[in-house]
Amino acid sequence: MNPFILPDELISKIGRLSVATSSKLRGHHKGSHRSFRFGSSLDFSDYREYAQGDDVRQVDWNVYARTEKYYIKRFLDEQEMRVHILLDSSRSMGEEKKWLFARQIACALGFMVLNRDDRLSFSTIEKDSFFRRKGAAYRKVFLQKVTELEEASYKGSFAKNALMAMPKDCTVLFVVTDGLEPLEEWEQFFRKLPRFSGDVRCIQIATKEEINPTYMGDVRLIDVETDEQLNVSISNKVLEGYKREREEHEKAFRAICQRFGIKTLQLVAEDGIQQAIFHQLLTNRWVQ
Amino acid sequence: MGFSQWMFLWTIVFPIIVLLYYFFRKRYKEQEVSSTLFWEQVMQETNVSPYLKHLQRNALFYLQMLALFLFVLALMNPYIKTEEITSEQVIWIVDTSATMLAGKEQSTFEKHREEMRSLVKAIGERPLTIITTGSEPKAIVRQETNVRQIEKAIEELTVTYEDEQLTKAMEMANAFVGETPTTIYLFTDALSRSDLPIENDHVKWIVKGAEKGLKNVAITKLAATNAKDGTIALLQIKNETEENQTVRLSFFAEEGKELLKKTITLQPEEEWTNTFEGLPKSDVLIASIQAKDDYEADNSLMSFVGNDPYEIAVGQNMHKLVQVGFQSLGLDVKSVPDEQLKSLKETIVVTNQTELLERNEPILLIGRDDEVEMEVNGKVEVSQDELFAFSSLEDVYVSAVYPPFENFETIAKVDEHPFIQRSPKGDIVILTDIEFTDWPLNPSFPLFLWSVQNEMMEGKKSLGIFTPNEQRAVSLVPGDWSIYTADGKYVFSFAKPQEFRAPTTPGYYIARSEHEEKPLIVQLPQKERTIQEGTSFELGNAVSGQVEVRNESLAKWIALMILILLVIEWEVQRRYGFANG
Repeated sequence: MNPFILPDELISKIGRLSVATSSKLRGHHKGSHRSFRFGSSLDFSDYREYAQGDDVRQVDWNVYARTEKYYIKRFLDEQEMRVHILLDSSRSMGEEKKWLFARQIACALGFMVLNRDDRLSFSTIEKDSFFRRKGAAYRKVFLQKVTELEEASYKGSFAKNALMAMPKDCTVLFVVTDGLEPLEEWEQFFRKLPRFSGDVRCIQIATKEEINPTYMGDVRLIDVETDEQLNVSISNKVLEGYKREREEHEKAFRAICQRFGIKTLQLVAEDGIQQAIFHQLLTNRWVQ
Repeated sequence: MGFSQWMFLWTIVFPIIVLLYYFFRKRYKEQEVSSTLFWEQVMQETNVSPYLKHLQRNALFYLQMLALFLFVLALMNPYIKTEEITSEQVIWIVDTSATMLAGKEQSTFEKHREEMRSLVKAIGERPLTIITTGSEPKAIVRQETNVRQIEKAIEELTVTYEDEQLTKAMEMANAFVGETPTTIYLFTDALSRSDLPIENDHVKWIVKGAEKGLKNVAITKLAATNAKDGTIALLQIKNETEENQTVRLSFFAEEGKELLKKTITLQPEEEWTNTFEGLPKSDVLIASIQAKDDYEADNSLMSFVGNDPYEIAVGQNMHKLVQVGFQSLGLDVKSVPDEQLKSLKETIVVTNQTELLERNEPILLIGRDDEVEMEVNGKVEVSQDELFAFSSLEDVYVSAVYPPFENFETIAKVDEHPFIQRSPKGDIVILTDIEFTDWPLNPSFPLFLWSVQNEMMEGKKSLGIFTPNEQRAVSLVPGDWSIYTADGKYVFSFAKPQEFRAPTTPGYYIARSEHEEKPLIVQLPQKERTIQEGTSFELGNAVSGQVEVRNESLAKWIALMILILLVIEWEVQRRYGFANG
């Protein structure tokens, strides 16, 4: 048994995947992703005529010997990809299945990144939760860290406070949240996200109970995040109203994301991590 | 300290109910959810308009304000002015005669009882007197203000089947009026305006009559006598409606055996008379009809079957026509010298000797030998009496009458002087001599004589026919007598035959002592066998120029509203909490 929240077989399976992106924003460090810039990798790109100011060391002397002209031989550059995973650790994520699932998603994504020798940063909105490492050597450290996040205990709005814990210049930014905050707050939050990254992806996690509540009768609903209490006599009519409200919220949520060029994907916790990664993420070309 | 309204103690139920409800109220299960975001929206969606939303959010506030304002209002004790009954006292005269039982779905009596119940509230604090009618009107409630007592008295009112004799009740009511402005309610079936006494200008009469258009078919007369080949019965049925009526007529013996059955169709307003011969012999004959009418009590009538006639002894100095009259009826009559009349037994004596009234057995007294006649001039008026059932005295001329006996009941008058009287014992007194009248030449004379001998003979074998509650001396040996109904139920006992009072309910009864038993019949009086068109009207003014205003407090209604508001508030609080903003 491994001590992490990801099963072994899944770890080996996701080792073959990587995060797919078309973002061109890269880090300055060397990495395993082919860049469109020219650099010092072993992959040949093309020849270019020498111009003043070019590095004399890059002149291909064999070609000069044949043509008596100075050509510069260019290679493709290999650059690292920077991926940030922002995990919503507000209390609304605290429901057992949901929290486990959210961390599994974060783990899986992070594992893929580190496995490719790319730079991974990870944060929740808690203080001192920042993690930033590069390279496959830190895979276990990362898994350990996420596994240790035992409960989502942040008391407050995720959308309002998440910006504080964000690094700039990410290639890909994953936001793992449940989206259960007022739309205005999300709008404020998403408006600012493109500054941090060119490719923002929002993974929205829901549970079946949220989609289709099973409790009936007179219920005092307690909001775990705000401790607000609401007495509801749940009838079929009220349930219908709830579902309609929820759908409208999600529609609006997706609309906001689309406006700011943010991709969204809703994952249901009960479907399991396997299904989420190999079916939903893969078919949506979020990983490859 | 004291409490003035102990009866409102029952409202303690409300706090107890609320307390119980509080203990057993539905409790909310607690359920943690990730977010109440959608639920809130759902709950808020129920109130679409912002005005309603505002109302809902501040429901508790408004309800509390309303309750407090109502509280202030209740303390100011608002009232509405009512001016419906304007007098210092109220008298109800309640007709308890049998005709009050007539009615379509509900008898007039029950209808009036309901009306009385609702009137009790309108009377308020004023003293109420309730007088029931009858030959002896009774004040069952005197100047009463206690509502409970009055309601109890109303519930206990029953029909006594007696002739209403409203005049007597009105006289009694007048005794209560005195100088006080009074409203008199008269609960009867029919009364004409002219029957009301209008001596007092401070009395307001309100007459509540029966409903209109009641239908009635009644048996009005039944007489039966034994002949050689069975019983002969004479029957009269009256159709008081404007349409043809088909009725089923049956004759019964006293033990309930049906003797004859017949279906008869009656023309509108028809008085149908028929003789039935050859009926099986029985002591009592009961005629009964089944008709679709609104008055049940007059659909049957009983009669004792007359037996072989007794001997009739006519005083020698009586006019010949008297003897001839009896003979024309086929009765056995003998002429007896006056001095022998005293010693005769089991004989009907016809005489003018006043002293013979002291005989144990009733006599027929025609004229008086101890007084001088006086001249009269006028028409003969007869009262409703069995004696005149078959004879009409309208065309009879009488020129002189003797002074009347004081304690005797007058059953016919001429020129406002008593003409025919009946003694408490049952003697019949005709206060004239045959010479002073042309009556013997009239066909009604023999019929009258027949009725007289019939009545007197009934007294021999039976106690006779009574009207309900009638008080009359009966010729019985003093002792312990008990009255039983035909099917053997005990009714009451009496010891003094002089003070005998007939049972209330019409029917066949048996008076029993250790050694003897005699049947008697209680029968509706003739007047109660017909119903008149109901009348309702008001007459007079209780208080002239002075309007009395009665204030009805609304405080208790406001208290009730506050109570309801409290319950609503509580429910609102339970649902939405104190602050739902």
